[in-house]
Amino acid sequence: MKRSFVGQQMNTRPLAPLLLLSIFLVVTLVTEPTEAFADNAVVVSLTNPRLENFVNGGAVGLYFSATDLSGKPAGQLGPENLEVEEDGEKVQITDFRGEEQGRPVDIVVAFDITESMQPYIDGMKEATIDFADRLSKAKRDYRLGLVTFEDYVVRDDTVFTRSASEFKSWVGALQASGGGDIPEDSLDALVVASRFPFRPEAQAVVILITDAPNHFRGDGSDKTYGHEVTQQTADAVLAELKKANLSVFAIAPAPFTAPDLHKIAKESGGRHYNILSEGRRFPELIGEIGRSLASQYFLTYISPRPVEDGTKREIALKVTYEKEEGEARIAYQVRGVGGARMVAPSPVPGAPPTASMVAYGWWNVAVPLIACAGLLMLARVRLSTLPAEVLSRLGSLSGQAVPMRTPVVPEKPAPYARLVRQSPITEVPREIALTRDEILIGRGEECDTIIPHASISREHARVKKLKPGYVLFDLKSKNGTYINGRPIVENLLKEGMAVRIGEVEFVFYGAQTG
Amino acid sequence: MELSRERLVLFAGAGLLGGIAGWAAAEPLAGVGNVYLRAILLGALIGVFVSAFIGAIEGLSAGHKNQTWQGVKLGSLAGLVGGGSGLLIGELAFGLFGGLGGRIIGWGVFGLAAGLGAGWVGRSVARLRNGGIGGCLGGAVGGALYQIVTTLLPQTAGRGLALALLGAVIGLGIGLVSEILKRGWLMVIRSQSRNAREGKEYPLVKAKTTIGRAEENDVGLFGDQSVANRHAVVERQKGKFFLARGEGQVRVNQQPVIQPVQLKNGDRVEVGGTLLLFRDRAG
Repeated sequence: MKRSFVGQQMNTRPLAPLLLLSIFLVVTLVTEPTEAFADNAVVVSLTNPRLENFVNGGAVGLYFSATDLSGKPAGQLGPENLEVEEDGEKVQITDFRGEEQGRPVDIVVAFDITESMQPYIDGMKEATIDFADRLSKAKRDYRLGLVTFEDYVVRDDTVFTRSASEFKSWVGALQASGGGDIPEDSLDALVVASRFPFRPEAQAVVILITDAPNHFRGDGSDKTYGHEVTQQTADAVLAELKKANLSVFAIAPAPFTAPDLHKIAKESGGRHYNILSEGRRFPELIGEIGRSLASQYFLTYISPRPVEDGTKREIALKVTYEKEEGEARIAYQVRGVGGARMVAPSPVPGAPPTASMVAYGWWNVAVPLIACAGLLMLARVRLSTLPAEVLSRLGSLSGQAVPMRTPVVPEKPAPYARLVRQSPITEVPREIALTRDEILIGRGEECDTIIPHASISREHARVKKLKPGYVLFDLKSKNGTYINGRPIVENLLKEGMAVRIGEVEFVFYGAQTG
Repeated sequence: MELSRERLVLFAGAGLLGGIAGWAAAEPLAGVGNVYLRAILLGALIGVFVSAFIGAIEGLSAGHKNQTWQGVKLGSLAGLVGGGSGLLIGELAFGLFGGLGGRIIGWGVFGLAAGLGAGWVGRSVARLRNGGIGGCLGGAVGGALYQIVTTLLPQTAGRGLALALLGAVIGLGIGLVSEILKRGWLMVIRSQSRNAREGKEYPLVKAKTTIGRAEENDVGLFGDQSVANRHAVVERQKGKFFLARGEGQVRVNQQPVIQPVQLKNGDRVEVGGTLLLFRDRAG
């Protein structure tokens, strides 16, 4: 009995972690997809953070949009729907706005009116009022314009209307006709659209609706018509659109059928919808364009680290919308290897940054000048002394110890007469060699021996070699010249005499051969 | 290892003051919007001050006007070009390696330029090399310090402290490398000249180091009437040093020099009223 019990225990031991592992696996496998599902119930997309205002105490701007799983924009979000974290730290949103909310919008609808387009013309009539309603709700002052085309531009009145019902009547009056070949002249229609009188402050949008690819220069249409349908190319049209700052929402054939239209929509900052696969929900599609024009958001928060330290910071934006949640992450980096100025956050949230960022003050000049003066002072710092080891080596070389800086140094004989300094003043030469017949001593640059000491006059004394020997002259100096403590005017120097020039003391030694 | 304390203090001090001056002069430009333009402007301006200060200090300390002026001129030029391009490189590296890596690289290149500027004054390859190595190392360490200091103490005050430290570390690096790599030097034991103080060292880094009373000498003994304009020369050949007389009498260990003699560690060189001690690293 006992044995089997032990055996049982040994069997269960390795089972326990295995069991735990399998439970863990099951839990993670089961929970992971549901979590992911919950996370993505609201699809949040972020563009690169805007750091133009980072100087204002670290303000980071975020453009984002939020849609549901089917791509329908989540409308009417407020700051209470959002949670922003930077590197895991929750931050305060200082400014929030529906990006284009309140901004006027000018919309031109460019409509292909060939035979096959009739259902869309009807759909457009149906969708117009709803479309205009959405814009009104987002407080967008809108104007609508219409261009129609087939193999040439049919309606080219560049006029806007503020009335949704007038626009609806324009659409209602359209009659589908013509056709002939497959491609239509959408490029020229876009050029006409770009010539509408857009308001400079307004967002400018073209909604292009066609089920055919476009004619373009050199597409061979001259063989059918005897002349080319259009002189335009996609790039030329894009340039025109960019000049007018227009974005194009194209409801057009798939990208591979109409690559030019796809490219124009993408590069002008608009969107491309496939008319064949999404055409059935055409009225909703128009509604969606309206919503997305009304539901781009922008928020500003203050970074917890308003420092240009170059680190990557991760932003997590969580949106809660109708009890669903979605999250998006993006990183940013504050540049400035040599620094970047930040100013205290503006008391008014969202106020523009201080205009002038380069402003010289008095200290910007004064401090470098003080530093220059400091450099001159630094140049006077004297730290070099003869190391003890060098001194002892000197002693051994000359056969006797040479103690430095003691007032009376037993001087070795020298082949020339000299004045040897006794005062511990380092700026002054240790000895004045009297190697010439006349030597001028003083503080001035013109002297033969310059002693930069405050007690010494510009031209203080002169030593002349005369017949009896070296004679010391005082040159009417301020602090006088002394021999053995007595002021002198001129005096003959003798071996071992104590000479004081100003406050600097010397001993005279005559020339010796040794 | 014998390191001249004075040299280290002078170089580090000059770098520190240059950093402070550069900071004050460049601070208003820290608000320029474009990061690359800002990096170039800041780097060039701070570079001018740091390099000119470090370049000038040696001549200034020796009372050597010519050398001081050369130091200011060449230092400014090297600082302007090297500082601007250094921080621009740093800014580009910022994106690749983040803050710390970018700053180490950027200020390393900045320091390299400052060191080359300071070495250029000596008109010798060895000095150029020493300055470059020292400046680059100092700049890299300084860049890391910059990152730490500006994170702990942000904005104007932080940049001031960081740049002062950075300048000091670059100066110290330049001084330290030139001290560590010096092979032979002359130390003043006593002198009648007004600038060669007891204990002052003259490194022998050039192929020919001239000693004399005139301004252009490498070892200038100004105001010593017993020294000729171009008194003597120390030549460096394959790591050995030879002393030759020029216009004046020279004595080594109290023996007059007639033909060039090889100097040994501990030799006493007498040039007029100045007594110098020859030292080399090998000894």
